[in-house]
Amino acid sequence: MSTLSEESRQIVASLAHRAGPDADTARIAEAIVAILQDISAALTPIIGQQGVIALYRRSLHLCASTHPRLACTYDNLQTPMDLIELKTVLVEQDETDAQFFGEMLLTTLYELLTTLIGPSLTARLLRGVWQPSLSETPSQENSP
Amino acid sequence: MSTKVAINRLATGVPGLDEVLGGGLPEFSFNLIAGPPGCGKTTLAHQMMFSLATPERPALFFTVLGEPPLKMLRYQQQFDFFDSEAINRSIRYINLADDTLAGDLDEVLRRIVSEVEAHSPSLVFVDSFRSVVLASQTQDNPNNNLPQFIQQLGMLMTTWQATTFLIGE
Repeated sequence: MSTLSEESRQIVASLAHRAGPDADTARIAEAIVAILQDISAALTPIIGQQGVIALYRRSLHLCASTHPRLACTYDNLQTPMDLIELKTVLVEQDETDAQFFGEMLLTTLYELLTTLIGPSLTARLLRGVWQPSLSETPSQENSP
Repeated sequence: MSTKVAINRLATGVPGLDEVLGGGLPEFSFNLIAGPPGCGKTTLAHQMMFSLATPERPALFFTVLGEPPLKMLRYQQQFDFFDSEAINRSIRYINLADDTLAGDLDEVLRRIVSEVEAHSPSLVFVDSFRSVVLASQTQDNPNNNLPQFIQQLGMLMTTWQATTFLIGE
């Protein structure tokens, strides 16, 4: 369990780093979507697009079940894995809620994958998702 | 000094199998692993793959339709030979489900060739080749794709110097 907590901290740190300091909702939403895109890019070759979509939907469902305050956001996401739609829904939240949603969603997805294929393989497959962001510039510095 | 080609033998890592094979798997051979569902074809393939694959001799494992890759990865980890650190280093899994569902065998072959060109594997596994063919069958063309698919894949993989395993029933 300590390993998982460590990974959770890494996910939260990665999201915060990508969004940058004092991020507004738009930047937080961009960071969440960028991480999901990286996760998808890492997993799709191995488990297929349908496999990634299934993980995403299940993670959303678990988030909404565990945190009732996220249920409304979840209900607004209709299509299987439309990150543009997710971004649109997220920017309608305030910064705290958007950040909380992102942390819960990404952590839940990671934990779900861990229950399926184990911590070492999950860490192996998603290592590149968290590590580059900690050495790169925050996303807002790449924005015009 | 002999000018005949020497065929290297690859140690499979499976107790007793190398003796049965006369000293190991012939390099660049094209092998069928066939048997009924649940008999251990995928597990045998994984045991050989984890034994043989190195960064210098990488393996590609193509998953097609059938058992979801997540479930396969979950089950294969129950065996001691499974090494997570080898994944994406000496062993790369590639899912062809979306290509296969489209039903175009030529496209599936193109995708396999594209990945082989990109990664230059010494070992190639297709699990399972039968589901590739079944997904491509139509009423007009019910059963004559299998020999053609195997023939083309065999020719391509031999040219690419890849020891190949087709897994199926």
